[in-house]
Amino acid sequence: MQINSVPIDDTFAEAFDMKATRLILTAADRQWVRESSAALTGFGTSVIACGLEIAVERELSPEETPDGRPGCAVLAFAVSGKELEKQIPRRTGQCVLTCPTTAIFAGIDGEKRIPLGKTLRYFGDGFQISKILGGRRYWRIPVMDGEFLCEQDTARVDAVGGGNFLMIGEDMESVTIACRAAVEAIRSLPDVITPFAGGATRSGSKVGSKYKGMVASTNEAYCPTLRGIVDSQLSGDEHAVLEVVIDGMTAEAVASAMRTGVLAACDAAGGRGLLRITAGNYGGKLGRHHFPLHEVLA
Amino acid sequence: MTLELRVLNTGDARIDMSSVRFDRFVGTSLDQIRRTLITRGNQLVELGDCFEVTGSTSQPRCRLMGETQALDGVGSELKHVEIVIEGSLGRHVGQDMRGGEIDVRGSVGDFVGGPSRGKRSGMRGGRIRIRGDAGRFVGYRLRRGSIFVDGHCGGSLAAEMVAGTIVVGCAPPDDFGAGMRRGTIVCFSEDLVDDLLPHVGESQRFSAPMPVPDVMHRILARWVRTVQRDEYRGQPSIERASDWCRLLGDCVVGGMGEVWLRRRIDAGVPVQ
Repeated sequence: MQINSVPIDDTFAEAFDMKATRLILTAADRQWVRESSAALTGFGTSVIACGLEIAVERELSPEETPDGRPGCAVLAFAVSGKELEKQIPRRTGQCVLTCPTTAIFAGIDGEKRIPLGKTLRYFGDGFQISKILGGRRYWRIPVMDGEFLCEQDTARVDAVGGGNFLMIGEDMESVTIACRAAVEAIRSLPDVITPFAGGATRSGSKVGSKYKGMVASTNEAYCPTLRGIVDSQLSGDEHAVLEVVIDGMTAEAVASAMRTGVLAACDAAGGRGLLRITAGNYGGKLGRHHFPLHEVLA
Repeated sequence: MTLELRVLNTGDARIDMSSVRFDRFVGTSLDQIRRTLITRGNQLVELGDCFEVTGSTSQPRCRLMGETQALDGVGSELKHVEIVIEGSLGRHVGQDMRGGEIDVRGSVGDFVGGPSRGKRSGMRGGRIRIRGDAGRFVGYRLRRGSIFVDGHCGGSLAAEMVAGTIVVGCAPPDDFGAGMRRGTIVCFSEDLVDDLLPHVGESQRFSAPMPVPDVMHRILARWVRTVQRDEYRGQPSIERASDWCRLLGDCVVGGMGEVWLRRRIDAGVPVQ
């Protein structure tokens, strides 16, 4: 298979079951929204060490938010519901409650709940006020700019994390062009995030290491500098590889994002140094969700 | 389909509906409903003696029609049924209510959403909407849930209120919020507000007026608009936060309740 003269490997991306939630963050103006969401989603690239994979899903207009102010939707993914329950209140408390004018709301419905105001309310030291309106419980915590308002909790749902594709090029410039086009295209899709910086990672990892305690380490098969001394997956003219990692609320959303990203990458850099598209997997034994590239792109 | 209860001519006797659990009517036969025991005057009678019972019990909905002003205690301990009353009601509407909705297309008597005798807390959930006026002690010991009174209400509004929300179409009546601990009263009418505020300060029961919190105002305004839909004609808008101020109290009991008052921008009301 080729797209815009870029060969697509006959392989599959391997993804995992995760737990996810969506938060709606609002503030008095767009600048506070961006600054608060940057803090909330900071250090949230990989569950390997960050606890969460978290990023802004999309910005929301005032007409789309519960309080009619500018806002954004944030998606967060964790390996377990328990981890999500630990991380979300912690990040919300340190990054949203602290940011001037902000408020935070549930962005998804479901039976299983992740606490927001349920735990943050104690910051109010007895001056917090609960308000139930339209079946939703809000907490009003007095702070120095007035009140921090947050919903009691949000829902968590089953989700899919670790969808991916790798862009292999003759140089860094070509894969950068491909990567940025792919991430930009994926950004417009609902229900998915690309949690790494700029949506891509250069440190594609394999499971385990020669060192004890390292759960993941560099994937030497795709490191161009090791070609010749390891069992490399790169040919002689392939000098740079970037990976786009995709977390989605459903397998369909991940597949759609992979398709959109690959098409955009090939469109932007096909014939301009992008030499091949492949995907990362662990032999199919670790993740329940497999995304064969040829099927996804058919 | 809706269960329909039409009040037959009862003379002067009042009908106590506080023992009627509308939630239990769902899925039962009309005959069973007719055999439900209620009190008329000082006599125990069957519901069928006072009401014409028609319609269906398949849905959690009920309409009360006819001489409904003779009924007291409608909606006691209501949990999830929606009751529409095509007329006025007597006292104790929605006492001990826990959920559901009561929509009164007329006026009501005292103690809307209050506790039944011997109970510490009043209404604990659901929504009561009064299209007309209400008597004294609206929301007495209200614990949770919301009460809308489109018209006027009598004195002692929200007395000993614990939490919840009361929205009224009038200015705060006499002795509003006495013993109020938490919860929100929203008073739509701006009549008398300027006369009222200096007395509030003198009584030291409530704080001086202060601006309403922006985000809560937005959430509350959106919720009020949802409840009112387009039927709440003739009332001023809650949309602009600058049109509103709020008081906190009742300080006598260390309360943190809030009373939202409509304050004209050009009225020069002192704001803290």
